Amino acid sequence: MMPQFGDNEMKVLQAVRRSAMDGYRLLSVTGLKPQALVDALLKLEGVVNVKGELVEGRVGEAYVALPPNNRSFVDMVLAK
Amino acid sequence: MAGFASPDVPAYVCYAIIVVFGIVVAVGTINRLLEGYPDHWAFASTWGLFAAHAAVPVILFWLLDYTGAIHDTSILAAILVALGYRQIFTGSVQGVTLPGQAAGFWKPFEAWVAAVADRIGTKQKLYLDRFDEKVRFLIFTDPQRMASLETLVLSISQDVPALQTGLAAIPATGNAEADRRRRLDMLWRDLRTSRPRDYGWLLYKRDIVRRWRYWMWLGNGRAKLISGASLVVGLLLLAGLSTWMSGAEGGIARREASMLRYHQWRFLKPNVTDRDQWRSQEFLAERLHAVGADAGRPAGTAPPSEALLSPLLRELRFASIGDRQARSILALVVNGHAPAVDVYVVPELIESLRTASEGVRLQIRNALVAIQKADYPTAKIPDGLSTWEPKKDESAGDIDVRVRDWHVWWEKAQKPASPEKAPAGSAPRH
Repeated sequence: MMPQFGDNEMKVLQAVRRSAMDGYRLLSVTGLKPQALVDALLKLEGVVNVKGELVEGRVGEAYVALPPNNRSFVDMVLAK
Repeated sequence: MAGFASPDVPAYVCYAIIVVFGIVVAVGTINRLLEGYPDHWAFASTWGLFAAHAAVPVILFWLLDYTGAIHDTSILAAILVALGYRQIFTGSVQGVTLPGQAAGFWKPFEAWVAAVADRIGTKQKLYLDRFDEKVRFLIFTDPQRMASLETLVLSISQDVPALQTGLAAIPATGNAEADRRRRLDMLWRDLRTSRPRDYGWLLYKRDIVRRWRYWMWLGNGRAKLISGASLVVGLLLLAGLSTWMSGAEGGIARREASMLRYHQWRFLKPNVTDRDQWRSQEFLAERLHAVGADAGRPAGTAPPSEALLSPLLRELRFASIGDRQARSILALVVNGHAPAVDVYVVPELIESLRTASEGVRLQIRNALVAIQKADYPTAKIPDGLSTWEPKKDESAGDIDVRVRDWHVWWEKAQKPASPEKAPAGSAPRH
């Protein structure tokens, strides 16, 4: 069964599908506020790979990537 | 696929095709697998993954030839394996099937890719943190850089009033260094938030960081350096190999030795194509003829005929040698007969009569008789030996008697037919 992701999670998935990036860039690309990004990344646990702390003040320094194994799954989610 | 109509070329040409195409495909595969990871070529683990991807088609090609699915002299099979090895592993190429559980080999490979991707993510984060830390330290210890950063951030900030309010609201701790640190942290965070893509470039343009530091950590410099170094190492290895194999006497000898080993391998390989075996037969026959024609070697040097024929003649003693292989080996030594060659070949053939296969014993006896007729016509073989019909249930003792009798004949035959005193008409048939 396909998990249901909200708009913020979809924005994050779209961004990291193109390239791994740090949190500052992810905030800029998705237009999310730091806390919204933290929440989205927490919901995407297991789908995206996060290096760093998931707290509002430090989410910019995190590094977020989409593992190659999950690429086809994310493509399917984004296609829906 | 074994019956696939394809140009039949030497196996080393096919392996070269596999290596070249394999490298090109491996580069594409790695770029696709790690497409989301910028600078992925800057990591040793990526190069390890690349080497494995480049090696897989070579190993697969050998395996498919070994199992008889293809011939390693088929140029089309080489291209097919080099370009479509992943499809072969998943079983989606008709006519080319992998044996047993070999298809499962791809699973750990995928896990390896995931591990490498994870490692790259960790390293990227580490490098970004190190760059940040280093640059912040430089700014912190240099008031001029601090002033430049403040000017830069105030000029690009997305929310200048908020930034100014924030800076003004930093409480004084009574410790000047701590206060400066907090001010720097706030400016840095604003810079990264306002210009997340090109903050490094802006720092470089303001002379806050040096060009090489920016290039190295944020400008793809590590990837370019490591890729360039890998390319240089690869080219140097190729140049070294080329120099080693070419040039004066040493290079020629090494090339000749490599070709000899290659053709010995092909000659003994059970599942070669007829054309491939013919190529090796031609090569070995030509070298054997050269040995027969050149009897005046310096004393004390190893006889070339031994280097040429030793691995082949040794096979005759293997109990399960194929009929085709035995016939090919014996045809080669009989066709290349010459007193200079016989000196090594005949004693070896006589000892090979001890083989378990009565069919091979018979073929060896026929070969010895043929050599006697060609090179030692005056040294008659006793009737008991020339008409000896090897049998399946012959005892080791009986065979030993024949072997000793053949040795006695050979000792007698050598005296009048030594290379220096070869009888007229004993020249090799070439």
